Amino acid sequence: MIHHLIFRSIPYFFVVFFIFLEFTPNYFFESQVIKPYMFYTVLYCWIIHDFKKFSIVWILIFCTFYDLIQQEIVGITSIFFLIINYLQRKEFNDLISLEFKEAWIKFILSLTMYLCVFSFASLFSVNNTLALKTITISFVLSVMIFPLFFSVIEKLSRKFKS
Amino acid sequence: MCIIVSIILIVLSINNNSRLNILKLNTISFCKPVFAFIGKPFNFLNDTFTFFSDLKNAKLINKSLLDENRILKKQVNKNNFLLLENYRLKNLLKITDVNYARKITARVIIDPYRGDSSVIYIDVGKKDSVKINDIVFNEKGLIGRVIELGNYSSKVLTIFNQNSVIPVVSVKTKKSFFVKGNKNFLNLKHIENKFDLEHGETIVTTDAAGYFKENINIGRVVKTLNEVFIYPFAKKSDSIYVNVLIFEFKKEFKD
Repeated sequence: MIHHLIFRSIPYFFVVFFIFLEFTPNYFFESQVIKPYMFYTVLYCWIIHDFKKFSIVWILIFCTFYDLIQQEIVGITSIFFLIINYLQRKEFNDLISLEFKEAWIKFILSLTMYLCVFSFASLFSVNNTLALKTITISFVLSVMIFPLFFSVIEKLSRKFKS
Repeated sequence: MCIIVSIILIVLSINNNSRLNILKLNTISFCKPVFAFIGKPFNFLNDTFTFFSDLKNAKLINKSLLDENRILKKQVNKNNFLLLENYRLKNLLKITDVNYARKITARVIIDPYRGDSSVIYIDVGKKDSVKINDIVFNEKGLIGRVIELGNYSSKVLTIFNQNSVIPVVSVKTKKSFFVKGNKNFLNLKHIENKFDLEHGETIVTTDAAGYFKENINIGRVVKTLNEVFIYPFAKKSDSIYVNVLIFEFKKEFKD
């Protein structure tokens, strides 16, 4: 029973772990370490592989938690992922396999849109300026690590298939 | 339903709802042990690299430290004489010492560097007697001041933020003015003839505004052909540990 519960909760811990990893302050030789959007990448990969894994309530909880820690506007991330989840449900077809290149392009487009909305909302309500250089580096890193997360989560989603 | 909840949260965020702000600070406080745990391996790695880097330059560092020691020994002798003189004068005037400030060490829990708002979150709050405007610094100098308080965490506005304005005085030329944050350096405000400042001279805080302790290092003056600005000594990425100076804490004043 406990073993089963632990096994089922691993994907949840996996996603939460990346929220923490993204925001833990890391300084390397007294310089800020710029990290990719790990939470966004992980949750996106999981939704496209197995959208049934996380219910919309769980997506709301994860994203609200992410926004609360991020200390910016709360709610934007959840809206984005709820839309992604809805689109994935709509497009889902058991007979057509997921193509990596298509997923990668869709990821780039969705992340670009997310960052534009998030940055502008933040610019007009929370901050006066934008760390454009940092955001761009994070974006490029996210795009670069996407294949890695894609393949890892593909294997994990098969193991923890809902 | 979930979309409606998200929209409500967005509206509350934009309106800067106080309950949501408290929830943000409480979330950070609650997650503090996890952040510390996850950050441990990276900090260990960074410390190891720094150690080996220092080891490489050990001879040079040792030589400069020996020179520094020689100068400091002379200063200690002078300071001892001044302390004794000060003690005698206090006795003569019957002045008793009051500890009106204490220093506590805090850990940076979150550094939202992507927002560019130059704020950090530290793991001390109301329960540690921290108050709004208490100053935060590290071994190199001033980092910022507390602007929001939770029970176990606080938000710190760093000196690099555009909303940060600090009263300062130049050590050599004795000019009083203000410095305003501008990303990586500080701009000068309310100063006449800023070119009278000496290149490289140190700038320290004054207690002119009422909430800064005087004589805390801020930075040094940098003069170019057409501009004068301050290059700060401390930056938030120096260490994940910072100090908070707490003024007038109740226990001391009751005594």
